[in-house]
Amino acid sequence: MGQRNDNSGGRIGGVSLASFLQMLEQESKTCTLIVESDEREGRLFFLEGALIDADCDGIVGQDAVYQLLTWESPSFRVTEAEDRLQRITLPLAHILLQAATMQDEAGEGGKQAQSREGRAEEAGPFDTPAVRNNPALRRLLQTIISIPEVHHYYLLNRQGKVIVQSSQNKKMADFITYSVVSGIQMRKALHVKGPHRIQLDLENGEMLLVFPGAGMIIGLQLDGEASVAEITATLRPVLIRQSVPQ
Amino acid sequence: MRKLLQEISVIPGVTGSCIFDKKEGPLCKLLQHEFGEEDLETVGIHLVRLVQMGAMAGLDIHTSHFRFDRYTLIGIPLDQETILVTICDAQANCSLVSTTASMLARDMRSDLERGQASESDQTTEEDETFLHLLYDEIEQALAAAMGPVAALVMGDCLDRWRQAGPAIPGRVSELISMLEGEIGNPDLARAFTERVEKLL
Repeated sequence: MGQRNDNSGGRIGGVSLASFLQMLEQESKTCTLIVESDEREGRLFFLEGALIDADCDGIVGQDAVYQLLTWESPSFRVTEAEDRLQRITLPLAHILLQAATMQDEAGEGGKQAQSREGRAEEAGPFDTPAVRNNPALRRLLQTIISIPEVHHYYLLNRQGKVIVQSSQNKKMADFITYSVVSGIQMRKALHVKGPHRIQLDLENGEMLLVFPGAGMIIGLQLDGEASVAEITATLRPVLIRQSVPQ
Repeated sequence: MRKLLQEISVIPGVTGSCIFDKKEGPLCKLLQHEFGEEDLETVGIHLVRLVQMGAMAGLDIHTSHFRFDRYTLIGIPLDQETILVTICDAQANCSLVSTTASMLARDMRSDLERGQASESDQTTEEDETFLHLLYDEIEQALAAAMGPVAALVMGDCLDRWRQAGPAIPGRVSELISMLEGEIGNPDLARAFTERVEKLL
């Protein structure tokens, strides 16, 4: 894997991306690594040395890491950490090995390895008892995490208690519950049914989408450009007959 | 303000709109269907509180949409305690309504600011009579603390006070602070303040 050999403008050169990722892991860094190549830009998110997410070319998670590792002559720079949803649960060594295997297969003229093997879900959000013992909830979580526009998710029971959430913001669950309670009060005043959906557009360009379901409340912090209709359609199949611990 | 609400109400699917203030209630409303005053109050209060609650969670809400079976409610904050509420039916193009309402919200904010400014700056005839009587009393209290120079100091302070803002009863405390600062003896200054505060 080639790399640019200059350090101008705060950029790091002379080290391969894979090596630099391992260094960040060893140093237990919490940061964002920005990777640039041919006017393209991708980001890798570290939390205390663990690679938790990545994005590039509209792809997120492990697939984005595999993509970034194929970029030629990348330059990279470290910036401040972000409170980021954990989409990656595999150890970095495993991902690098998988990426190398995929590149070898591609180099041998074989078709690009499509296998997403070893997508271990024994770590991160899947490791919580509520999710581990509930296949429906696992499916829901997998679906949510696969949506690139999702910045964070909050799954709450009807009492507003957190089942699982990706953000470190502890006040958000209360706010989401409050928005549902407000919706119920307004429903009574307007003599209607619902609310089926609450959408809050924020000044920072993000959107908070809340689905006050019968079994649980789902809150999604999204990119402001996200299509509410598409996200609703993606979630609908997994929202049917959700069983959630109270 | 009503003209601005009319611009929203002509969008297909819009059932009505209202500017709601947490303290004053509905400031202006244009509703096709007759919602009860109490119902409107419930909706408005919850939308305002949601914005305030959002601020506590670090969220700056630009627009809120509540989708019910028959209606969608769109709330756009105009200031901390005032919100533009638009009620659309289920078939309305909420994106269009929201964009139009956001655009008009800017003009509404200007109107509200102008209204508040002119309201608080206006001096009624009653106020003027009260203030003139008060100036005399304050000058007498100042003379007790400073002696004959009081009239001169009072004149200077009154000029500075009037230059700093409107001469209204709500700003008299600023004038008293200025005068108190002119009295060199702390005991006399305290006596002056106590005497003047009895007048207010």
